[in-house]
Amino acid sequence: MSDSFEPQIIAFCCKYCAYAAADLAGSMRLSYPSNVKITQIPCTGRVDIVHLLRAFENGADGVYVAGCMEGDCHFVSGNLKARKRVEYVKKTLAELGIEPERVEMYNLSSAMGPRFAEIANEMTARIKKLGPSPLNTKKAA
Amino acid sequence: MANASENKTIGSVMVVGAGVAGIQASLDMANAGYYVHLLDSSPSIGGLMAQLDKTFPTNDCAMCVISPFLVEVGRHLNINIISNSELETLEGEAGAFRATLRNNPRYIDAEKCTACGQCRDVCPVTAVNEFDCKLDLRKATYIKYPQAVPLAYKIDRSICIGCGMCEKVCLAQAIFYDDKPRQTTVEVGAVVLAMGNDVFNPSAFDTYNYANHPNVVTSLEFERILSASGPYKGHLMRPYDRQIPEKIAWMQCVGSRDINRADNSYCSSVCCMYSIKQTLIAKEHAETPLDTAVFYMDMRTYGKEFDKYYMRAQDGGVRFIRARVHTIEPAADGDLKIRYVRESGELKEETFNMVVLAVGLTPSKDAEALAKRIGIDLNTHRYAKTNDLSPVSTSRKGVYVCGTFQGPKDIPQSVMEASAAAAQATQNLSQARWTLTRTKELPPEKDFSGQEPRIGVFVCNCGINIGGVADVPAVREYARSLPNVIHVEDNLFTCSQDTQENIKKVIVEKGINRVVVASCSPRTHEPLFQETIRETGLNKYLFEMANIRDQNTWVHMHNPERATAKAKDLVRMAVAKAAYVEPLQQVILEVKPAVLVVGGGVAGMEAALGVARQGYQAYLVERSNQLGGVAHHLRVTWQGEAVAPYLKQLIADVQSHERVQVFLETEVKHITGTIGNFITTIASENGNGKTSILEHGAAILATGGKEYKPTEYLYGKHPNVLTHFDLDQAITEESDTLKNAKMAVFIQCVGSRTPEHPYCSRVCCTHSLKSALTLKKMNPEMKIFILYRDIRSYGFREDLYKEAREKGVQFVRYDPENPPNLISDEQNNLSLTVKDHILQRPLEIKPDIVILAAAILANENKKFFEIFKVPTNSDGFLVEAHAKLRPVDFGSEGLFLAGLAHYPKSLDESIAQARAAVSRTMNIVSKKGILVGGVVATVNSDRCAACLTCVRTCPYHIPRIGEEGYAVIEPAECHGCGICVSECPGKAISLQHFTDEQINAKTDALFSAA
Amino acid sequence: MSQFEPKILAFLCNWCSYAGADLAGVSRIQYPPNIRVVRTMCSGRVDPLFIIQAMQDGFDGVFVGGCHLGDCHYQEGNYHTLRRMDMLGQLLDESGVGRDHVHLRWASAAEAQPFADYVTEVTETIRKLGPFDKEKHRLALASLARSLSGSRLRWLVGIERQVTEKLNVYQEKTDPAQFKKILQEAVQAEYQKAMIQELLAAGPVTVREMSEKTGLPIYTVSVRLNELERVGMADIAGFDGRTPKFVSPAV
Repeated sequence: MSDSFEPQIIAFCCKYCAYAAADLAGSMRLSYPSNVKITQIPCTGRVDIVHLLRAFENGADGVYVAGCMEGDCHFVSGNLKARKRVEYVKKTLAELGIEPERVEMYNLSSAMGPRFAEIANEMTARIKKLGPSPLNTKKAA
Repeated sequence: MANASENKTIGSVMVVGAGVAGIQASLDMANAGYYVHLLDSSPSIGGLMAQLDKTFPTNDCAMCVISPFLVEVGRHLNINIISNSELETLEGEAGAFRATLRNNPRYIDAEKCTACGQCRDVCPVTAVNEFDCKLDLRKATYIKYPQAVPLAYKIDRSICIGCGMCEKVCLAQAIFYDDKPRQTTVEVGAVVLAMGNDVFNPSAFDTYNYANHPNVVTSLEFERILSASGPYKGHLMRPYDRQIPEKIAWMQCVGSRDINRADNSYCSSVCCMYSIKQTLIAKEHAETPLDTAVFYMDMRTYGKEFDKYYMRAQDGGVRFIRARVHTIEPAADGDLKIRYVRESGELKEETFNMVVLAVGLTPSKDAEALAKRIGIDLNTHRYAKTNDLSPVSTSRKGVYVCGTFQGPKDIPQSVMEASAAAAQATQNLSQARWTLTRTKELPPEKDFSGQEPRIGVFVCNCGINIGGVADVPAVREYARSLPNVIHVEDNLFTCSQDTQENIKKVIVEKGINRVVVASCSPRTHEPLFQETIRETGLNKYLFEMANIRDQNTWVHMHNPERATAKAKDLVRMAVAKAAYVEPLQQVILEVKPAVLVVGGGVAGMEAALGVARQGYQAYLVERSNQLGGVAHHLRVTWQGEAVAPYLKQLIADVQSHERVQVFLETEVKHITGTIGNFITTIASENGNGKTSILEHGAAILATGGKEYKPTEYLYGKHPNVLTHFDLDQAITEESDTLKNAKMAVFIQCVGSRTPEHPYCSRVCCTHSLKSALTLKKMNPEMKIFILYRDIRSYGFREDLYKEAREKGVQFVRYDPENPPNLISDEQNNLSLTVKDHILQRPLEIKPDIVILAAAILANENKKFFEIFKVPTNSDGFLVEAHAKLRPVDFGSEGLFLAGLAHYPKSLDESIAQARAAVSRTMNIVSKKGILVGGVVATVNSDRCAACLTCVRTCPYHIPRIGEEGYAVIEPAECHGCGICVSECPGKAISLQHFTDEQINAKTDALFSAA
Repeated sequence: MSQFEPKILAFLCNWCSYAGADLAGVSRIQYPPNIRVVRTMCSGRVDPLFIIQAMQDGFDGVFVGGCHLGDCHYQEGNYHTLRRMDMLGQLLDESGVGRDHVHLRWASAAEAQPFADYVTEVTETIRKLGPFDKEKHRLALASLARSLSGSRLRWLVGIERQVTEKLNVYQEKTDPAQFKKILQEAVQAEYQKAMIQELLAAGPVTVREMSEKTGLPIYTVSVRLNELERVGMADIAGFDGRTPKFVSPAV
């Protein structure tokens, strides 16, 4: 089944770095799996725990947040806050019996197009290995 | 011709050179009421900075910080980018120039080109890629780099064979081969030259084998190697065989401080720092342990936070080897053997996998030719000649200079000068301010409140960029099935001019009140579409984009089915958010046309006078009872211009100017308000305690610095131990002690680069060199020693070092572990011992006078800085908004800084920074009102518990608890990141245009597919 | 010892060379029996890929016959043949196979004797070369086929006359010397990249391994490999210590 499983992954990307890096990956024509869909936000600091949990509730198999390099946040410290929130969601997921690896925080600069593609690959491979989110299999059953 | 003789002042300006300096100057002037023609010989703007990977000392990604500026310039209504063009002649005079330009053909219409790259893919001709420093190839049809502005391709006619393939594949019909060189003229009131520099080419250094060995690279090539968008995608590898190097060496001063082979006797000012940066970044990038060694003469880390960066590198294991390298020879397997001579004379050898030549800056041939054409004097180094006391003015009135065309310098100094040049260029044009600028006439916004969303979806084929991969008609039809969608269509190019007109027509005809465009990136195209819908009366926030090209068809081109499915997902998400977007109103706040300047030294006075000369009121507040500050202690500038007459004139000008109000013996007590509207309370300290209230739109803090009073080296205990200030006074007074002295010794770094003050005071080496030469002139027989750690005579100041050596001044290096030892005997005779590193033994001398190069410290202003809520670093200097691109701004909007309060600097640099601050305030006070609102955080007072979470969370310290007892976030100050929103426990704050509802709508939509 | 009898494939155009061959028959003119003829309507139909295919299939050489320049039944077909064969010759030299395996001759329908002479001459030339070892040249032939399948060389050769003899898109003539240089560079680049691509397809492989297998200098491999990486045709697969290994990206 893992062969045919195509996970849905949502990525919250900050406008200044991660989203721009995703665009650069496009300009450089780097291919990565189409499972990742991006929502643009002004800063990863805008990402709320609720947004992440909501994604899982709705059927996401994986969720990640991608912001600027630590120390380089366009808004000084938004990415550090985001990291904390992601850590919190990991704990919450674990308590619910969901693999915490389904959510992740990444940092990259706007010049790192190849890194963006790498992250998309990495995350998709990771989620494929984990299989569908337990919330989805329950729903299906 | 009769009109020409009338003194008509023209309200537009020209900036020549669109690197980081030219960009800054353009933005400053365009935002202060002038129409700017920004000229560049290259097909796109960005200059040298766009090629860099990271910038020192913060290791920020260069592209990340410059690219928002590029986009802003590209979209600015009052900046006319004239790329691919050169300035041929400049006639007329200050206030009314007539410039003749040569517009070289591009052969591709930049307006029509969508930068899809089809032409590049099919072009059969290749050339070396200059942007990647010839490490890889480009085609004859090319774009300099993916983020270029204008985002359009160009044909390199010199290699094009005219095969016509690009025209065949260009669906935008942007190619026109009959493009011809044209001549155009523009009329401008002033000109700012920012043509930049070239990078030294070390091919002629045959002993370094650069031309013959791929693993000997220049520092700029190395920058491209490190860059994630460079040839190796950011993997640290050497060119010869792509091995990951284990050992890399950096050679400093290649093409700098060298008259034998390079003909550049000056110091390039930036190489020490960029080499340190490269060692640190290389270590970060390396997937395996990396040994780095830097071979240098003097380590010149003279700027703000530079010495700490140097120490960080040392702590991180970077080897710094003080030695002259004489050969780099090929060794086995692509390695290189370096032979060098240590300070002690010992000859050594070491083998490295790769060698980086830290090449210097060299004058640009094109810039030199241009200077000659338009009558600008160059200095002996072939850079634009300027004086210290008028740092950005050229020899021709009305023509100003900034950046590295004036001399080698780093990015913040270039940006600072750019703003200074902007201020100087516009100073005499103020009567023409806002006369040539453009404004867009827009219809009133329509009110859709209470109406159901009526969404129009436009899907772009982008030629074949999207349509050639994804099934666009299927995406279009899918969009039709989505809720609230009342119109769908697909376009060959949604961004083309005719489609824009069509979109406007459809919006009106069908009563569309939300628009979704599925095409490329909002990063580049959102403003365009927003402008279009606004022209029909739709609020610009009633818009949403789905990025189905850059983040879909370009990255899934081998999987059309899944690309189509993903495009549908992205469109569904965008439509879902569009249903929730609300019109956001931006309100205009009136601006108080006055500037408060705190600090009455040279920087403060230059700032106040600059503001007044621009036509605005300046309030100058000084805590002491006189103007002038530390400049009273200075004799001459480093180029030898007398300070006293200048200072006297400046004080007189300040005191007599009708728009400068000076408050001596006065302190700031309180400040409220926001950018454009500050209210400041000042109180007189001379006993009467009189307070006044000042209203102003911006403020400049120029609170100055002071000379360290040494406790070491018998200072204060022996009359012949002087500081620099003391020496300047003694020279002015022609003191007998000096005249009779047979031996003078300068001790450098007294109080600088110590554990207490771990920074370089920047000016002391130059001051000692200059003073030593003055003493030599007074008494050629005098023996002079300079005891130093590194001689940091950056830029053309190196000339002084060279001259001092020629005149017989002796330089003895000492280690901080073994500082010189100065004692005085009963007869008050001084005696000094220091270890000589070349002779490897102690040197004992008996100086008559000892001059201590005492550190420069920030004035203590803790309380005052707290009033303004401006931050200081660990050394007490004020911290600017961004170390590279906003060197005179504070993080808080409307506040600026200048002078020694920012960091130790020479008089010319202080003057430039003060003028830069003037320019920055003009961006505020020259406007009748400033727009606030849009994407900002708003507080729902009913839900606010005043828990202070937002106050603590905000990186800019904007939220406060208002008088009514709940949080207040000023829309004029909010940066719109949304950090507080997501942190607020009561969910009392929301970020407009990125509300929870809107973000969740996208998530919900993604997973709601049947 | 019996002498080597090469197998030679001949492409003859319908209107001239093929007719010339027929006339040679009618006239009973004798020539060596080593050629096997494929008739094409025009020598311009002969794709260089056919020739590489023939070599891969075990022929020792190829003969192409067309009308004299100016006499082409399709007006200019043989001009294209001429340029294409010249480009192929450059490629064959670059690959080490050598252009002597492939020969182009013009023979009209009336030129029975010249036709027979050409066949004799070409047969002797190829005989002297000895048997063609297609196994030894496997990488070279695959790389030749790959570079000839790409659009760059085909387009350049196709456009040469238009831009150098007639008018290019700028309404002027491109300097033939400049064009020649560009074509030479393209031939070399495309062939070298094709070799690397062949190895990458069977990767992962290191730069030094590629250098050994292709005979190209290490730095040349490095540069060409990077060209491929920049257009998404090569990728790093991983590292062996400090040595990166490269592959063709998975599609």
